[in-house]
Amino acid sequence: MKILESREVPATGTAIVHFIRIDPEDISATLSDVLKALMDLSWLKHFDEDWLVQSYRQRAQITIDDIKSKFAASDQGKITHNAGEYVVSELSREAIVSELGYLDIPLAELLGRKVSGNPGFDFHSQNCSTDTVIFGEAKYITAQSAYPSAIKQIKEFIDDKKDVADIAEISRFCTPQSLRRAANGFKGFAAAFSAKGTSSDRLISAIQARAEYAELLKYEEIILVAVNL
Amino acid sequence: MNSVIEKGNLIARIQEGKDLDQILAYAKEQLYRNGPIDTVVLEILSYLKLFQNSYFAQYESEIVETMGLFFKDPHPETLQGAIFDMYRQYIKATFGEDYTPLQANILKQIQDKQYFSFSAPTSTGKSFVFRNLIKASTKDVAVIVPSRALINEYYDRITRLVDIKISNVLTFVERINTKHAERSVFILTPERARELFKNKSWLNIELFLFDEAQLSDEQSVRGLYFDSIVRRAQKAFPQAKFVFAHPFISNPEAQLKRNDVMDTGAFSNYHLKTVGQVFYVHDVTNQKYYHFGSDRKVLGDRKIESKIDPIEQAILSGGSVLIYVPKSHIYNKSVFQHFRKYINLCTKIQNPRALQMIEQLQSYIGASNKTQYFYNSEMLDMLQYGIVVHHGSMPLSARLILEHFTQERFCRICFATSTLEQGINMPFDVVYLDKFEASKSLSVKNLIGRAGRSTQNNCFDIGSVVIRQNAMSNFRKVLFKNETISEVSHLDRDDEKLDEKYNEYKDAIKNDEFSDEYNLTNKDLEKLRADTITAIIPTLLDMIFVDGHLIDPDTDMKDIYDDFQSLYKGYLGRDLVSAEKWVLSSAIKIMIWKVYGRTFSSICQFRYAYVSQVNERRKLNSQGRTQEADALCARYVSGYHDLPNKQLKSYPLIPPSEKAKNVDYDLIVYDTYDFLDKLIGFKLSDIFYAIFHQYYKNNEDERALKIANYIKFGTDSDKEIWMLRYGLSFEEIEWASPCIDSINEEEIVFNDRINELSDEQLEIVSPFLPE
Repeated sequence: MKILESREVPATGTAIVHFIRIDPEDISATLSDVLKALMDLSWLKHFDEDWLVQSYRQRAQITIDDIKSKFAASDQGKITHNAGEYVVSELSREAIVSELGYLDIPLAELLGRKVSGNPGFDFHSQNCSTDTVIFGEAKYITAQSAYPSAIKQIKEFIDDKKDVADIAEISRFCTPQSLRRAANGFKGFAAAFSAKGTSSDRLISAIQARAEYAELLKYEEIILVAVNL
Repeated sequence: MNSVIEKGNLIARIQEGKDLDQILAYAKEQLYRNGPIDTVVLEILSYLKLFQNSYFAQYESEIVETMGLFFKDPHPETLQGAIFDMYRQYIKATFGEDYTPLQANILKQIQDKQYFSFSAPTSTGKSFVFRNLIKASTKDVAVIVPSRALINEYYDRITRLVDIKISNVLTFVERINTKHAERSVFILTPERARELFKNKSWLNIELFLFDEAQLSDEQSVRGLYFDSIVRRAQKAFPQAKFVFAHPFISNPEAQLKRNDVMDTGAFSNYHLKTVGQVFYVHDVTNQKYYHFGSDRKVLGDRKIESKIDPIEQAILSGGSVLIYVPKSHIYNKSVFQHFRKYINLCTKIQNPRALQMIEQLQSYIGASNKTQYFYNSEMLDMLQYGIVVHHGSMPLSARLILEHFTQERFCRICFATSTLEQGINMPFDVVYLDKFEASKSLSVKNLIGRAGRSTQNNCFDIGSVVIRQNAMSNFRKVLFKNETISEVSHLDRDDEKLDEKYNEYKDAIKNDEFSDEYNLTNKDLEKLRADTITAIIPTLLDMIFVDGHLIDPDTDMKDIYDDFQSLYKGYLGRDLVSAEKWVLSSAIKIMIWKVYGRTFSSICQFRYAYVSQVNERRKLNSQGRTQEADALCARYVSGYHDLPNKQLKSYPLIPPSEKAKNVDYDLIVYDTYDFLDKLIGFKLSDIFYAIFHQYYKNNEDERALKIANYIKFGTDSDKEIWMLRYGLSFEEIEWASPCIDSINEEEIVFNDRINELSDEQLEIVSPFLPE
């Protein structure tokens, strides 16, 4: 993964807004991390770990290559979409950790709910200097940039209080202060999305034009992560 | 616990379409993390499919994939699914089959360990794995099963699987076809398995498969045999692998412990299921069905009225229903009244293959469908509508036909007793427990396990279980009860207090005082050589044989029957009570008819004709005296009872007040089979064979050998005995014999008359035909 851009975006509300743009380069490693984390959660792990590891050794490369070629061909199938969201989510999380120096909550810990398909935020982090919990949502769309759905989804989740529900799950990782703050409404959000050739400036101004985005500005922090996938 | 689950009442909420996303998410997550092990999770998924079918369909393939049901060929649409798909591909690359993770694990454990004992729910596909193991092996294999019904089932499937030209598939331990066959697969009961040991010099057994190995826990001589077979096989075939399979046992390691092989063995208690189940309670007073959950807290405290009648739905949609009933209710036909509504839904079968099976069965039992009052079988009448009855007194060959009939999906309703629970592969869409025996929890679980057929389709399969109102709380207890078997072998237990005969057998087996040749203890054999017994034999032989041939069957045989009774008395060492005499007398007559080569159907017809006064009625009818004919009552005949039993009271098989014309032909069939199977087959033939064979050895009276062979094999002809050893039945010997020039241990040499045989007949002898 290569960070192409990382900058602060001027904003009108209380929120500090970051924009990060990523070139995933070879997504093999990310897919491999996701697959391994998913494996650890599956019943096959305790049923027969030895064989699960062997099956990974024998078959993972084929699976990864297959998914990569589907991305390359802009395949619109369900598995491409599902893998795309995992990749966008994981790369964004990594970028937030490496670029902004935020809290690294291991991927495996974040996937628990994902396997159920239960709607909710995809990843979490914490701004350690301000003690602000970050709730991240990732979207992948084959044909176009996925920011509208990411932003819209965040807004809906806030309305449904999904962020509040998540606090218990991440309490093991975050500082008590940040959890308290989150409970009191001092929190941040990350919108991670696949982006095509659109320039960063045009992406930012398109996002800024959305009503849901304006509503997010009342929180502490907004991170926009565009992934060139 | 998840909050959506904590709210409870899931059946109602799913039915009303509330919180579906959250409920499904919970079930999916449980499935992904823990596998398809939790009855409640599978129940939730079943209700989602039942009540919210189109919603559920979007996720169905993913659920099938997560359950590891790879034979359904699910296509992963998520990365989670891709994990399972990698596992699937790995299994396929290793074993060449789309095995489920459970099946693959069984194979892996067997490859790695000399001893492997496991437990798995019914319908998890272990038989498929076993059959492939047998197919892949190159040396001799012994499969040990508890019943002859299971022998039949294995035999049927294995002969279709292996190359029968080079693999003998045998249900007795015989050395045959040695010139052509490279190995043998034996499918045996523990009793028959004893024969392996005296043949060990030429056997090269690489695998012992003990299926339904919970038999070892049975407090009976059979349980004892089972344990002794394992012990002896360990010594006689030290290189062989041993596999023990059980359904629903929570401590499969018991088999390793009881045989002291924990170090070299492995065990697994698999809980993975392949189908979902929903439960109904039937209120017979208002004839309504209600849904209820196995877990009240999660699924709901109150039963919910079902909008459908699950039995009616299954029948009308071409499915099948198993109704578990007491045998007495089949005999007195009350079940047919009880379930009349459903019987009336079944339509007459037109399928030629089904009709062929019905005809086959009719000819086997010797029934006639010309008139209601002569040799008419209600069982066959019902079968024409897809209604099967299945119980332990149904002749084995008939049971096999009925099982094929059911497996080929011609059966709509099957009224069955506990014989069905012995692992016979007959799944149903609905299982209705008209009788609930909480004390036999393992049997109940086995029956419940029959609900839901695991299809090849890429869908989540559901079965329904229906119980009666009064069984509800017991049902829940049974469903979650742990089933354990003893970790100490019968052979090592000192605290067992069974009957005297059991202790005698046990001592004999432990002290190597058991004769495999005669299937009796040495003590018994000694008793049978006593003067009180041998003194009877010369006069008996003089009566049976005239010039070395059996006397004319129409001769009055009363004295012969009496002498056989005296031999049995000598064996028991006491007089018989009068009811015992009646039973024994019937048994001896049937045994002698077998000696004379009468087929099963002709014995049934003969007994029926006597009881129902066929000749007298026909005569009166022909004279136009129909009323007199109809007024005749049934004759006295004793029905089957186990012997010896001093407390036995005499009563007739058919009440004397019953009109002769109304005598139930099926009842005669069942009773005759009970005599042949349970009394003659399991007890009398061993005793009488030993008496005559030992007498022959000591006195060289060829007639004694002859009658011994007649009793054991039903023939004295060397050629016919060899044909029996090659697995041909008497009916088959009749047409096959003229085509055979010679037959011995090495091979069968056929002559040109083989070309006159029908395709069906050719298929029967095909394993032994030259290429």
